[in-house]
Amino acid sequence: MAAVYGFPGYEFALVPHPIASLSLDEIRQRARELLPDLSRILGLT
Amino acid sequence: MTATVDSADVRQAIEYYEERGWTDGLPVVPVTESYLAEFLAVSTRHPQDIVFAMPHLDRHCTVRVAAINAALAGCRPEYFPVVLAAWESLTAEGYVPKGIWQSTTGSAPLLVVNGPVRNEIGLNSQGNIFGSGFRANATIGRALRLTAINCFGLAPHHLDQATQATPAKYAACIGENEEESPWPALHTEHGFDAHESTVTAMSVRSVIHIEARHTSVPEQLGLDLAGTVSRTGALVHETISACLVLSPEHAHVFARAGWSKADVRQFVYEHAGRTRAELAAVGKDAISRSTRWRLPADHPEAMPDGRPDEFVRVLNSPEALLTVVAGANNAGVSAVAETFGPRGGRPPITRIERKATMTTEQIDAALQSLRDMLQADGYVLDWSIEDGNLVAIRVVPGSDACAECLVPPELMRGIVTRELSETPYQVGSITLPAKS
Repeated sequence: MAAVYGFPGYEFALVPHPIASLSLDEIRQRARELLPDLSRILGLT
Repeated sequence: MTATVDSADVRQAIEYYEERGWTDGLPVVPVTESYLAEFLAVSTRHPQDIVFAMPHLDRHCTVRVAAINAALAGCRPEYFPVVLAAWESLTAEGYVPKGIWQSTTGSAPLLVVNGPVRNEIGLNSQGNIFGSGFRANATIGRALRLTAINCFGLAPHHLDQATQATPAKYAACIGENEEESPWPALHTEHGFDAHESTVTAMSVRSVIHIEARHTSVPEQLGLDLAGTVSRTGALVHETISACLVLSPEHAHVFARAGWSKADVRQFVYEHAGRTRAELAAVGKDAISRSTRWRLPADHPEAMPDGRPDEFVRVLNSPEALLTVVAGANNAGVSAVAETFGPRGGRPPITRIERKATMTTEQIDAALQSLRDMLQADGYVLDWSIEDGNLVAIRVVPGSDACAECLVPPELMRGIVTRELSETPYQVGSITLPAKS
């Protein structure tokens, strides 16, 4: 989809499956695990 | 002289398409400009007309591209108007232009064809209705899939992210068995004339088989259908929709008891549901505040599903069901095609626009008198398909050609235009021998 929208190099963070069946705490944990990657992509680290 | 083709060349062409990813995994039929022209010739539309668009991908499909993929799929040219009507119906259906073919759900188009076109092109409406064995059914359905892959880029593992999908993705196109149905056909139910031919497209997630050979009691059969429609595994959203594909035997069980198609829909609507406890047992007793998908009542996103009764109906209205009759009249076997979305309202029944099929033999016939006239003066007239529906004309002098007899190019163009006027073709380039 990134290439279709004209951003072939668009970087994104990958979150492991599953998501929809997680509890609120498990979702928060996923977010915590994702933060370093997001910070790097956004140039914050 | 007989033109010959080396079978190795054909194999090479098939491999070429495969290497490019222009297939659904099965070999495709090599397409040439002249073969493509036969498809374009049966359409009432211009080759550059847009037949389908996916705005979120900024991609669209023209008549020409739809024709290329129909030819690749193995369609005969005379099937092409059905393919075009299918795209129009899918546009009206609404889910596909918004991207449902990319979804993890993995839905596929199911086409129901009504009217005389079924018998004219050999489209099966009887035994093995969801099985194999009929070129029109197999290739019309496949034409949509190949277009999805080749025009819209919806290849598996890429823009098509289906988790498992359905075998219907290869092809799902059926005729209604109007001849053995006790009821009006789908298109005549909605105001079309029985002599008109139509396509109705829907997005299906699965086709579920029903065995009910034991009963001639309409209520028993109706409850069997309702039980299948309301299986909890189908409930991703608050409600669902379906197409009841009844065998002639089952249709007659209802009809003998005086039930119409609408009566069947009403009965199934009233009985298709689950108790609140049954929904709670599978964690689908509430809906999400943001997506309205079903989830457990104790989920942080949960809100009541707005259906206060203990018995929770899974259909919004009787119109969330379509009813067609298809299959052989040989057993109490039917199917429920699970369609996407809550539905209701008018189904996207689309008229098939057909033009008289013109074959290469008919172009020969149209040009015969001109050919005879030129031959009398010692010239040979040859023609070929140039591009789309343009016919290239070439006049070659024989050994005793009458140099003074040949008309100038402008006049020749006028003559050929007149001769082709009753065909879907137009004159393209004209090559005449140089004056000596």
